[in-house]
Amino acid sequence: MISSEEIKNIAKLSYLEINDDEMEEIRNSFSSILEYVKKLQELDTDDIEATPSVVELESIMRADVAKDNNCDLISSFSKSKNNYLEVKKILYNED
Amino acid sequence: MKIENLTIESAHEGLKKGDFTSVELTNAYLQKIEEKDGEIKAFVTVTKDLALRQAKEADEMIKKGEMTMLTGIPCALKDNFLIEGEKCTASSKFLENYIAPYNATVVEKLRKQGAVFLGKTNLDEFAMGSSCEKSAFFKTKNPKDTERVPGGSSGGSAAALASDMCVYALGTDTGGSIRQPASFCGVVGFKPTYGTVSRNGIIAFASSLDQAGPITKNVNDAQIVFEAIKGSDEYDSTTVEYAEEESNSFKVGVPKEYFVDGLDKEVEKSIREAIEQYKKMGAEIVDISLPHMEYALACYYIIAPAEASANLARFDGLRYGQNVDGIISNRTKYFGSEVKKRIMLGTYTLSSGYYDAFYKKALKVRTLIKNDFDEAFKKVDVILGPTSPCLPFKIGEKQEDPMAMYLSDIYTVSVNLAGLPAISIPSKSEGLPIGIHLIGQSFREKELLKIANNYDR
Repeated sequence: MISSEEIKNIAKLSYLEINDDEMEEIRNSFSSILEYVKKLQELDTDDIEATPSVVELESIMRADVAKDNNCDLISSFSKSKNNYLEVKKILYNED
Repeated sequence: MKIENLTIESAHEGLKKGDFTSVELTNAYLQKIEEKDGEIKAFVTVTKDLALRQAKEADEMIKKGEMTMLTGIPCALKDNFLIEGEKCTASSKFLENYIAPYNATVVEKLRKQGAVFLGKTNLDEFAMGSSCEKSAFFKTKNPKDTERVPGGSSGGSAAALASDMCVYALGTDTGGSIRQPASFCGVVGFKPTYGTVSRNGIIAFASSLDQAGPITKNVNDAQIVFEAIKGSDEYDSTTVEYAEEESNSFKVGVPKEYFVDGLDKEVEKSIREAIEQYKKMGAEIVDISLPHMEYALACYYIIAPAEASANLARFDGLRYGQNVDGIISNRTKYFGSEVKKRIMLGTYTLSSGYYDAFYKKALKVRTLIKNDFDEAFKKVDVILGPTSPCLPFKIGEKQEDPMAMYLSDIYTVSVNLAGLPAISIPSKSEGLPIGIHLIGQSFREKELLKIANNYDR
């Protein structure tokens, strides 16, 4: 069974917090799902290629010119200043 | 005005002959929603003003002789398709007040034909679920038996159609989310080949699996909607242009792996009857094998959450959605438990030390599953089986054990992993609805729909 510490660490990586009430349920369902998917280990896949997508992905290039820029994205910003998204300071000096 | 038996074709005829206007037709559906949706709860938002405005425009188009099959026909969209200026919630508290700033490509395409949008339908939050019980707002009921779930995640779309609250509906299908609710509600649900319909402007769940498609009253309507929404799109690099080869071959494959423990006896009986009917129609029935079928669900439950964990990283609450007090608080407070669980599962299988054992392994098994289909399609034109292993279950019945719920997608997920087109059509059996699942070859939807139509007729 996956430990509470492991769940807490995964939550942190996921930008989520798990409280004590939710912990048991999450541990239980995580464990049953991980137990189920273990099934894949039965298969020998050493010489098999991975399929991340069923279509061949090709980069589509275009000139770096804005179009359709009448779309209003700014009104859904939580905070904006001069048409820029305003967020808390993330880069700063220690002193 | 009687709308109960209207299909796209018959509504189109009515509009063309002038039996009714689009405004009259739209009002009739809005009236029906008012009467019926209090009980069924299929709609998250009813876009009445928009619909009536669009209906007026459609009537103008009809007068000018600019009519196409979908002009003036009222439809419903799952609430993960963006319609500019309208709310788009993905049935999540996170997006409860989010107003879409642009139209999905599919929405644009329908609008060019003069489609009328009645509203946005309920889904499991971010399309993660098989019963519509995971909507953050309310549970939708199955119109065929209101004690039961409509299926999911496009349960609102299937329920709206099955209770005549629209002429057709759109859904999205990542692991069965169009086909399983169509099966549960006794209507047609069609997931086209991956890459045929643009995903631009549809809220992403798992990008290598997601595909939009129609939920309709019959196969012919599914074809009409598919023709309208397909096509390559500069905003979705996975869309492709293609020309379909025609074929008159009629070989139906039945995989022996489909008839296993866990398949409901009534469902099995109904599928066996469908096989007999196909025989009578002149189909050659071929026994086939999909040896890796039993690994599909495990493979899916690694790949889909992994992609979801990446796709849902954008929900920080800063650019859109709920913002209370920082990214972690926003996500913790406004995501539901199933969504959190899947994000964390994906984060886990993609994390250092587990990536090879889980994620990479699943991508390799995906290749084996796809190869099985490639082999099978050397012998047959379509593959027939059940859409769901069980009948529509009761609300609350599968809430406790996550695996019990996930198992209801056992026949549908492999199709998304391989990117194939597939359709669920209602069986002719009495009682609760049962869906017959027909899987076709990539980019050969015409052939698939023709074979489906033979039974549907």
